[in-house]
Amino acid sequence: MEPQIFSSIPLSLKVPDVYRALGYSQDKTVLKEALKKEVDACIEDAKGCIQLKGAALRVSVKTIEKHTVILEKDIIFKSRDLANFLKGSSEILLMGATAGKFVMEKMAEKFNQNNFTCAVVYNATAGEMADEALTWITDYFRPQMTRERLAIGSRRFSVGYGDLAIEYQEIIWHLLRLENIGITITPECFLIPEKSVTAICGVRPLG
Amino acid sequence: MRNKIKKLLTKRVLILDGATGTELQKRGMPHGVCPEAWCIEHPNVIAQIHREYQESGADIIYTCTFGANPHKLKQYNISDVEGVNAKLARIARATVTANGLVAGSIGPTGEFVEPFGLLKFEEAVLAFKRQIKGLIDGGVDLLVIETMMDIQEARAALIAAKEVSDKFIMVTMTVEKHGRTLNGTDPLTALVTLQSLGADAVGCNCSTGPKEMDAFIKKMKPYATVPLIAKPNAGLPQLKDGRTIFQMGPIEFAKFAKNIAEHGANMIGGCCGTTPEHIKAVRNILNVFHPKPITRKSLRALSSASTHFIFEDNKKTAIVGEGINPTRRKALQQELREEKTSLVRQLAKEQELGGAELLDVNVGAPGVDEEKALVNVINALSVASKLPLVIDSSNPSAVEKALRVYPGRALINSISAEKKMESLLKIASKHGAMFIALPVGIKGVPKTFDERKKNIQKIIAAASREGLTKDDIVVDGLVMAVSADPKAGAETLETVRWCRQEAKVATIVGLSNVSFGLPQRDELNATFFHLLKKQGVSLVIANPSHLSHARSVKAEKVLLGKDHEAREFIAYAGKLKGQGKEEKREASNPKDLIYNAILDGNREDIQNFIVAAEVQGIPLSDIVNHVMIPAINKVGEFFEQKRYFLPQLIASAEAMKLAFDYIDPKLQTKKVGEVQKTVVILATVHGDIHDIGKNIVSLMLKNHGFHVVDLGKDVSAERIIGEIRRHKSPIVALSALMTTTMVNMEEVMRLAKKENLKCHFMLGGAVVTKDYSDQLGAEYSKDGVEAVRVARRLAAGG
Repeated sequence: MEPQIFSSIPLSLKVPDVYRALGYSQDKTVLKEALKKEVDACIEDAKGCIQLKGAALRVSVKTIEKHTVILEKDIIFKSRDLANFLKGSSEILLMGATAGKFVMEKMAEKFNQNNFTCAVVYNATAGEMADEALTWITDYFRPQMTRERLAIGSRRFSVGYGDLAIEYQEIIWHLLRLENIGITITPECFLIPEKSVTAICGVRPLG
Repeated sequence: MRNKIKKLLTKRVLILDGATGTELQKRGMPHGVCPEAWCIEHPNVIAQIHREYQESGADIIYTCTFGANPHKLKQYNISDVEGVNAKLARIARATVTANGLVAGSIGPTGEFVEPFGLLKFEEAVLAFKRQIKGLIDGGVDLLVIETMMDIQEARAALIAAKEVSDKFIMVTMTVEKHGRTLNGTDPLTALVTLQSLGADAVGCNCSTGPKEMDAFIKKMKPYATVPLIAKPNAGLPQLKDGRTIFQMGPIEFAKFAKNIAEHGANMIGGCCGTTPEHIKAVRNILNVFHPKPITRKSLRALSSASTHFIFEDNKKTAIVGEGINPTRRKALQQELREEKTSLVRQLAKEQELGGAELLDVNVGAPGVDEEKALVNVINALSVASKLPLVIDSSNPSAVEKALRVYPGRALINSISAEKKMESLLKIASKHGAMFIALPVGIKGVPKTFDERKKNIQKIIAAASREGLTKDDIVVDGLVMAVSADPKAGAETLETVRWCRQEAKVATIVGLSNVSFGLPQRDELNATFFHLLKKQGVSLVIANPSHLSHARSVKAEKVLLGKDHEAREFIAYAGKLKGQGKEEKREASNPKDLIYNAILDGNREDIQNFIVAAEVQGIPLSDIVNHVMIPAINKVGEFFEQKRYFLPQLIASAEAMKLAFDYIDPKLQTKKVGEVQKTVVILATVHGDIHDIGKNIVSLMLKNHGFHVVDLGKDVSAERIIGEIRRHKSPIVALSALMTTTMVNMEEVMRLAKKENLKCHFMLGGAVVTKDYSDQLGAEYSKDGVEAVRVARRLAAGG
């Protein structure tokens, strides 16, 4: 099972999404022009530091039982919530993405320079972009799957959701060979760089 | 055959076939097999599909070779790429009757091509060449490169096709409903790139239904120099009873197809979800439809992978950023020698933000391998910047290598009427690039406008012999320094006027040369920019940040040769030199200014406002207690009401911190604000590396007068206990982001209890909840504002 590597994911970031992640409310937040300019400039800077990469792997589903999902090569996920989520799926799409090391270093640098405002904007921008990269990956597979009369779900499931234990992060990390895109994993199952994410999508027969 | 197809396209809209993959599955192809291998094993099934499409009225039938490239076939352990393609092409050719055409289908490799992926550009070209050779052996009439989401991969396939054959080549990109391919290319940008590179027809297939595709065709048509193609899905997929289906029927599909034809598509078929019935309905509705003609023979436009730049008469003058040039830039020279690109990317970003619409790229410097460096920088910029590039080199080999890998249509800077002219024009023509015509001849730089004109005409004539048109040319106005030649400015302005009004070609001027050797260069440059704009110059090469300077009449006189030896201007510049910067306005009510500075997150001025308050004799303790603390409390209130979002909260906290940085050393008393300096131990617990939330809490607590001992992240329980004991801290704030590390909070509390330490615990972090905190007997804070409130309550003994 060879994961597909995306060494550079070309996303055009939706700035309003970063604002939303920072708590901006269209109806309530009152923002002065000077600070808006500063936040926008920080988002632009952060974008320049983000090196968005990803990996994905299609894995066939052998069986889905009440509390267990068994994939090809007998990869087992014990989780009732995941089993529910994948009901009817013939395969899954495993995905991982990272905003890269450089933006995290720059964020730390901003903190050390007491530029906290910029640091929190960097943090939110990197988080949004890593997350959006997963959407990009599912969009990448969608037409290909449609040709195979398969439909990929738009919802995603990740470790830590429901009863899917965080320890499964390590299995996903191995399957996706995330070290190839610069992601390492700690004994506590944290992905490093910090703004790195993984997710599972269900794939069902079309029509 | 190529000409036959072109002729046919002038007479009617050519009908393409519909979906193949879904038809194969309906007819028994199992899931998970290699479609190409299955079709070779079941030739009658694919032949029947071809036949049904032709009988439904399709003029062009695609071979079932969408995935028959070396990379896709390798996944099924098939290595005979040429053989598979030839066999499937023969099946199609033998099935389709003489009045139909067979198009060899070339789909994506499934890998991204550099600079967007790991697949080397030349490897991609070679892979496509193998497939195309097989298709041609099998007797296809034309080639179709389809369903491309990566413009670079489409280019690689197109280059391969052109290098292997002279067949008619169609190229279609797969554009999402939001109007771009997944790799970020919009249809018009793809059109600019692909038609200039030699595609015979360009368009879209898959991803969207006919309604959405109609909008893409509409956008492309005014700029198309080639026929347009539309091959949409049968609508957008819909979820019905838990199943995803394409539900647009043949009649509705055909109505949309007619709209698409009316908006300019010359070749129309169907993709996913379409059937022979859909194609039959399209044929019927378009049977007597006369195709919309192509309205232009050439297009003056550039592109990158994600955007285009179209030269239009009513368009304002655009700036070509000149920053990526190692001349007199040691750091950039060093970077280029080390084959790094971080400074290049930074310079690109700065110029883009400064308003540049194109980027000039020059890598010529001592010790730099120009051919290698140019390709390296082009690849880096293609990812880092959306702006189209101007390739600035006089080395034909370097220019050719750069053009081959550049995923757009570039502008060559430059070609002059000298010995390299012929070879560079051939390169421009082969790669479909535009070029800057530098009116310099064998005798060197002409001083007069008439000499320039002769050189320009010579280059235009030579370009025409290579199949290039006036739309491919941008003439350099060749500006020289007015300090050396007072008429230089006027000569350039006349060149620009003549090019625009009489020769009808676009123009460019390297702006900063004009002011060389004079003071106040930004003012002179900005004024010359204004004069050039009046003459209708298309582009100026400049540093965008230098053009915001106010223009002046004095500068204008120098540039038009009306100020002898620039004497008047030099005297004026001398007077300016002595003048200082504008003074900052004085604060009228320092207390209000400080209050507002915290509310507005004004970090720049807050310390000045405090100094002003001190000068007026306002005690610092009064400023802290009656101005700053109420202000930061108000900020907290606004944050909780969502009137402020996180950056506002943090900017205010930063302003507050700067105020304390100034005030703290001056205050004699230990008491600051309302709260005694209570010590708070703060840490992200062992195993956890996330600290942004903790850092925000630290900043907020400090601003409210707490003495925060921030132990950092991944801190062991033993160390936290040691620090509690050492500081006799009454409050300990712990943070964790994951459930796996959250349990380490419990460990710290267990140890503290064991050692009988009297302190309150506050917990926070993404996964921590109030319930969890309650269970452990700790306080919970959801964010920095709440952390302050809880800490104040605990400090007050609550």
